[in-house]
Amino acid sequence: MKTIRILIVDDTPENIQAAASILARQGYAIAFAEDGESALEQVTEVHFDLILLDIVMPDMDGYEVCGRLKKDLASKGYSCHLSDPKGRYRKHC
Amino acid sequence: MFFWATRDKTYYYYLTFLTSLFLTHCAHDIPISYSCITPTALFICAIAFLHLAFSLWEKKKKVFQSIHFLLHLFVFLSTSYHLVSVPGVSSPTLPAVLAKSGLLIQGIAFSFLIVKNIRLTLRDKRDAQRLSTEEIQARKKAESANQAKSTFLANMSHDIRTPMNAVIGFSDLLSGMSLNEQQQSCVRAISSGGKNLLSLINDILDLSKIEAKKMDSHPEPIRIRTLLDEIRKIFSLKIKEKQLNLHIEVADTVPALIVLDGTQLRRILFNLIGNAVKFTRKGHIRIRVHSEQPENKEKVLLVLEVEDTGPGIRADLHEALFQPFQQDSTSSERNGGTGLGLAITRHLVELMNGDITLRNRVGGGSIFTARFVDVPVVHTSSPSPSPSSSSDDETYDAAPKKIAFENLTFLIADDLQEHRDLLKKILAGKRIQCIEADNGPQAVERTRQHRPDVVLLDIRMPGGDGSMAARQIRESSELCHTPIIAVTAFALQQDREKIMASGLFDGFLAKPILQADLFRELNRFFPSTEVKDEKKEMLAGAPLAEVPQNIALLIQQLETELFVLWQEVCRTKVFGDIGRFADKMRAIGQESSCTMLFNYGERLKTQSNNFAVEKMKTVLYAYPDLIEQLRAAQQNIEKKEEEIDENNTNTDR
Repeated sequence: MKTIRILIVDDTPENIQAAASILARQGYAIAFAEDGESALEQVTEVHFDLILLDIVMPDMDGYEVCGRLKKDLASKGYSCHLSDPKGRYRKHC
Repeated sequence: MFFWATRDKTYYYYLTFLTSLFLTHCAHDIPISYSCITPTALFICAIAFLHLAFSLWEKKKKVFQSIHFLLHLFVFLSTSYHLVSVPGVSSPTLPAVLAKSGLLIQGIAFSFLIVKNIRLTLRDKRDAQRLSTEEIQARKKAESANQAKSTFLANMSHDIRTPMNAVIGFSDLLSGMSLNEQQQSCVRAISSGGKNLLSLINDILDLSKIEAKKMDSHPEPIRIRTLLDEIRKIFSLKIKEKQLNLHIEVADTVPALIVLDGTQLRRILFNLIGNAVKFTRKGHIRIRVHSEQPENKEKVLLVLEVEDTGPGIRADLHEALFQPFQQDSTSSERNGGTGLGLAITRHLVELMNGDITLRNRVGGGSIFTARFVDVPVVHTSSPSPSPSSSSDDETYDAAPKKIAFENLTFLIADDLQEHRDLLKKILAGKRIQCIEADNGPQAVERTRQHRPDVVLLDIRMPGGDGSMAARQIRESSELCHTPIIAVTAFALQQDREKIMASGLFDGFLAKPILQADLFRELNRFFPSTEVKDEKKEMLAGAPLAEVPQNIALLIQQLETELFVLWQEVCRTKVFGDIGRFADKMRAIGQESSCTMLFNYGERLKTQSNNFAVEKMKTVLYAYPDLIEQLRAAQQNIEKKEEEIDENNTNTDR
């Protein structure tokens, strides 16, 4: 069976560490990006089955990343999950 | 003369006008009909119309109030004139009498109106005055409430710091234990989180202390160049990580020793440079120090500039930035922080008799300029100690030395079991025996009983505080020489001074206790022996212990095939791939018996297994350095070979 690849996008390294530790234990292949720009680059190189996207990030926030992902890669059928600790952006979904 | 126009009197003017008109006609004894529209009446009508219009205007524009008044006067006078000059009236008719009495009444009413308005106006003024005094009182009240809040917070310092003692202290302790890498990285996360929280708390407390006017300046002779060197050291890691350049330029005119509050100056620089590092993604940070008024050798104007090539700050936000809880709103979300740093910095600068300004750098970025006026200069010919630069040298020496003491007995007095445990655990394995006490009297009793070599005394304890216990120990002739170290969460500068000024204590330790601080304090009383960390030494000495024979081939491999792989994992950042790359490095290192390569792979593997993003990145990005080092080693070898060759040829001759 093919390994499921997950990309974690978060500007806080500790958050990546925490999420990656949990997910890797379940047998997923984990990649990380610390900002939206590099996440978008990585997506062009590797196919990810799931992207965990932090909303509050410098320069390019989660929405913009999500928007550009959906626009550029609509055919690839990505599903975006928002990690939003403050629950402030729920209404946007 | 406009005082009477302060109220809405439109209706009254209108009524006055109509009455005047009516009464005039009555006085003329002319029946009110269409035929009575004489030029005079028309004139009055016109004026009345204007009057009305202006009355309505009055609500909008105060400028018209004077005109309004004149119009009113005119109406009054004209009607009076008509009354006086009624031609050919010999016997008083009823309407004429009515008109005359009416006009009289109107006159009286008008006078009343004026008087009333004067009174109203006066009252208005009084009210306004009273309001302003009320306002002042309210503001005073608010200010005192704010101050009370600040005082409260400043006093809360102790209670806020106490729980942090457990968090930071125990994680510090844990990190020294033999944990596996994953556990280590968890502990590091707790520790760094705790330290961040503590610095945040310290910021908030500082600001409240400043607001409560409890912050003082303690000028002392400092060496600004030494201070800047320290700061360079502190930021070197971050600067390197972000691949920035830090330039420190101190003009030759700046005196070697100046009298300023070193602690505060360090914090000012720390805040400004910290901000610069935080917001700059690319380019450099330049710190410029120069002084003016060199002809006056006693006092100088010291100017510190911190320049960065960050995004810069919009000019209209410059002032707000120095207010507490304000950040450039466009960036607060993304950079975190409380927005207190600059507010504190400004307060500190002002406290030191200076000012701070911000301007934008040409070509992007910002320049913060702090100017301190009348800074006394200490002439270097009279050597003066620099307490700030010498005493804190070790503060940033984060890794506590592995040391041991010679069979000592300690008394630990603290009302909280966990704090005693923490100290005990820090001291464990250092050949130190610990005796515990949980209140003051018990501490005195146990001291008498066990005669410890040192007493670590918590200041705030229920049932007899630390100062009282210390006094009792000091008063006893047989115990008075026992060193007593105050251990307390009252860590503010003035607390420390107060405690030390009491003369009861020989040392001071602020909670949260760090191992390094404790040992430094203990070292003042007892000599310690350094325990050699064998494992570390082995690693440090290892890299080129075995020089690989096929080094040229190895470098070639690293620069081509492996370099492509390295670039790929740097781009995709998949943990698993990085792990496999690390495995490969390890294998090659083993194969070619190159310890440096093997260690590199080992480190990378560990960090990627732990998902420790930051550390892994540091190792990963050090790959070019690795090649560089290998190449240097290769050159060394070649050099040596050449030398040997030369020697050989020499001996041949």
